[in-house]
Amino acid sequence: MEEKNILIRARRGDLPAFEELVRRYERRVYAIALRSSGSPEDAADIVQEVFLRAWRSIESFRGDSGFSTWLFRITVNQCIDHARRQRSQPVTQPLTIGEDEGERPLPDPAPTPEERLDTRELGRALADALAQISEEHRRIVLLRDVSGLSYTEIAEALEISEGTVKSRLSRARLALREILLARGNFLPSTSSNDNEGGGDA
Amino acid sequence: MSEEEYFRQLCSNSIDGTLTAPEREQLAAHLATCPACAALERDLRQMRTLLAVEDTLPEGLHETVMQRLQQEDKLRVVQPEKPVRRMPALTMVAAAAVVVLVVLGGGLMPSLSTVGSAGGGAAAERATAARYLDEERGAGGTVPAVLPGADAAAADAGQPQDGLPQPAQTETAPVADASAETSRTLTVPEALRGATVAHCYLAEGGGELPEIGGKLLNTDAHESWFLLDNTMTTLQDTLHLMEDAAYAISPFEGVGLALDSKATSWLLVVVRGD
Repeated sequence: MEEKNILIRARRGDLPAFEELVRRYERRVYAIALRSSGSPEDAADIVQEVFLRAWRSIESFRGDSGFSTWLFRITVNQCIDHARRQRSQPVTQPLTIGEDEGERPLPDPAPTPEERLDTRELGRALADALAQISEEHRRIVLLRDVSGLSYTEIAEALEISEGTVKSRLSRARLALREILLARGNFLPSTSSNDNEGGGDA
Repeated sequence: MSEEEYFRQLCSNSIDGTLTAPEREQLAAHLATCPACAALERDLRQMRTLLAVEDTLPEGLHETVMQRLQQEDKLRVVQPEKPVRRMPALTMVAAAAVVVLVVLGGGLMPSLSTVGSAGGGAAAERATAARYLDEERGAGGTVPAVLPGADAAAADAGQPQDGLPQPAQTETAPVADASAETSRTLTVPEALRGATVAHCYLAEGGGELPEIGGKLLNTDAHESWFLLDNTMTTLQDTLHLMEDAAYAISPFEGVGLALDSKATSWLLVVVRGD
């Protein structure tokens, strides 16, 4: 069924219609929550909270922006709130993103090439790095690189101009990369050792 | 923006595929001579690939989400400050029916009375209109909706009745009959006396009565009284069911029962036409 019709029904309080929207977007909402929190358990909590909030306020969704833009904005806000709450609590273990063997220590400063090529490892490091950049930067990276929203949609979601989207996104990505480079998380083919024009003679 | 910043931003835009053709050429030329930016571009692409990986939803998460929403739904039904969502739509349908019938009644009936001497053409027109009115009623005119229109029509038709030919009177008769019939009072079943219900709806129509998932309190040839659980799902499903069976639904407060949105049950009165 076309999303517009589903939305009309959902806005009238039709839960089965809303469930269809849940089905369509839950994976991406989960991906955003997982990237942001780094924990599958926390991500599951965030997903529940996001859809609960969306259901409570679906009546007020006017359709000025797309449903995905609206939903992902709720998601990112929820991720930021969650991170703030986490920060206010004592941290007992490092953030992880893996689903298999629980937490791992952060990569060795001088990992072997095999380790550096391990994309799963890089994924974990990426989640950790995301937690360290500013909220403003995290928000825009999540909306673009995880949610897949266009510049226009991000501009709507964050109520900023597209020009600001471009520049902020660029700075946010650079900040993320800086953290990964500093930890030696990038692949050896990249400029981990000669970044920012250091050894490019 | 410095040249360095400019090219960094182009690197960032390039992984989103948003560069213009001149920008693309400019960046390609720059990357060929600047290993730092070339590395940046590669790193950003790699980061992007990792961030965009879709994860498998943990087993049972969808069900957990839906359970929470269903719980929320039940809570919403008993929250007095949050009215039942279904109400506005129904009220609008009922209001629309009133408008249609008042327009039909008020607009049609004077023409019936004043064109009395016009002959067969007008009588045929009247017959068509009256049939339409009947169809309208059968298809979803509600009891409260029919009454004002029918009454007004009867009053209008009553004044210059002298010249009205006989067929016209017979044509308008069903409307008057309808008002007489539907104004009959509904008798609250003994079991409900003094009860409090969350909502009360009237379903009127001539269709076959669908299976209603509630407690049947009382029934006779014309009326059936059902008590149903006060949940959003039950309310919506039942009202949808009745509408699908060509019953017209309207909120009904004329039974003299106390209404309280926190009550455990709601009342459905089904009135069947002949």
